[in-house]
Amino acid sequence: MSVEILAYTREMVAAVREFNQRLLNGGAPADQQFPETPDPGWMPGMELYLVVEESMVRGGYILRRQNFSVSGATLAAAHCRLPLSEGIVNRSYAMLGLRMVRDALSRESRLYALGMGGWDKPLPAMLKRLGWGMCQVPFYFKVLHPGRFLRHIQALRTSPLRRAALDAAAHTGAGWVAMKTLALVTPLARRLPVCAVDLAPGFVPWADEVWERSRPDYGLMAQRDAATLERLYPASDSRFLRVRAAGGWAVLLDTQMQGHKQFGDMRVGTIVDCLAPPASAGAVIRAAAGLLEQRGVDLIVSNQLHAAWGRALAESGFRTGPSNYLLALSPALAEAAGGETLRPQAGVGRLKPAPPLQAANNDVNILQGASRPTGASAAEHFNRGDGDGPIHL
Amino acid sequence: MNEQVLSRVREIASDVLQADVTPDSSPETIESWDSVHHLNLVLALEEEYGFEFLPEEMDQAKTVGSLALVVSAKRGV
Repeated sequence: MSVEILAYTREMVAAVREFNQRLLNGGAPADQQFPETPDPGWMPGMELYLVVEESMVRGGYILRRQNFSVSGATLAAAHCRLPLSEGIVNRSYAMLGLRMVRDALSRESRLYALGMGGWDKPLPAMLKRLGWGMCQVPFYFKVLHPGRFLRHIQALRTSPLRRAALDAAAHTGAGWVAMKTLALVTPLARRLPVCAVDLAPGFVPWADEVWERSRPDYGLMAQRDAATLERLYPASDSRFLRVRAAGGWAVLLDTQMQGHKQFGDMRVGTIVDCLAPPASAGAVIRAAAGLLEQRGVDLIVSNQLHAAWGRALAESGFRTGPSNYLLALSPALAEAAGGETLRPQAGVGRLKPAPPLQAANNDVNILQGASRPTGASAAEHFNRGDGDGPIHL
Repeated sequence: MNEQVLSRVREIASDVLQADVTPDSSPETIESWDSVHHLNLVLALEEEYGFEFLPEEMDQAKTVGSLALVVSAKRGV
């Protein structure tokens, strides 16, 4: 077998379709598919690469080049997405995963990966073995309507008996009691006071000032100036709510789910992205969560790594749940961001490998994992605005 | 191929894959030989011999025997 890794061009679309079909036929999950276009348009600046054996596609990955800020200094890096190979259905191609990761590193040594589905998946295991700095990006949630939450939260509704109990709690108005029993609410879960919120149509030019004022306070974060934000959250996309508050901003989603694998038919508010000097994080979160509460969502969720944003969410009544949203920094990016302290081998790093979860979607773990957010100390700012962006929300 | 190299590569592969291996063993014949174990095997060999496989060498190395051949060639033995 001799393979090449080539830029994805239109001539390869048919071969990618055949590759995807072989994955499906081999039993790969339906979401394990490579884009059947060289320009999927999810995010700006994407470069797609294919592993080609003669004329057959055997794998592919996506790089998205971005600028990062490291304590105020600018640094070029890239997001590495997918590495997907035929090795998941045909062991003859088991070596392609490593080949793709090394190829990506040869194109950009400062890489990060985000999401990845949990510690038990092959990619995080591979990156950890390759010495990447890794951690979980904490998941925060706040339940606003316990009845609808209990009727729709799929991770808890795992057996007929459990569904009956949760439905009974929802119908009898005992939702808050059930929520407290399940430790899913905090004493701070009260509704937030209504406050004035400025919904902005776009980010130009005011977000540049927020960016310049905030960036020195963050150890590592992807560029969030006005031009970048206009590309990530364009005015043409009516889903995004852009909140200006307290000298910062947040991007929100208010989504009516339908048969969602985790949220069922709930109306879910998401604090996708946010930025302000850390001292203003609390006020920004109160404004963002308050707006979503006023709009009538059943549940608010957010993934936030930075300590100030985690504290802000906790102070607004959010709890943490198990997260399968992982961050991995290549050794070169970790070193550029913080030197040896970011490497997992150092043992004292801020980005230490977290203990593996037994099953991220297991209802018992959801319950056991629900806790008041504590102990976060990360200076790196990563959330759902990074990586793929909010594509599943 | 150098027999000492083959013997050592077999030992390392057996240890990484937690299976008895022969020179003909490959991902198709060893149940545990998936992408993560392949990575572990490649890194273990690179650590043992102090070099990094080139992409085209990784393409050639489809069996324990062919891995040993690549190692022998890189070491010039």
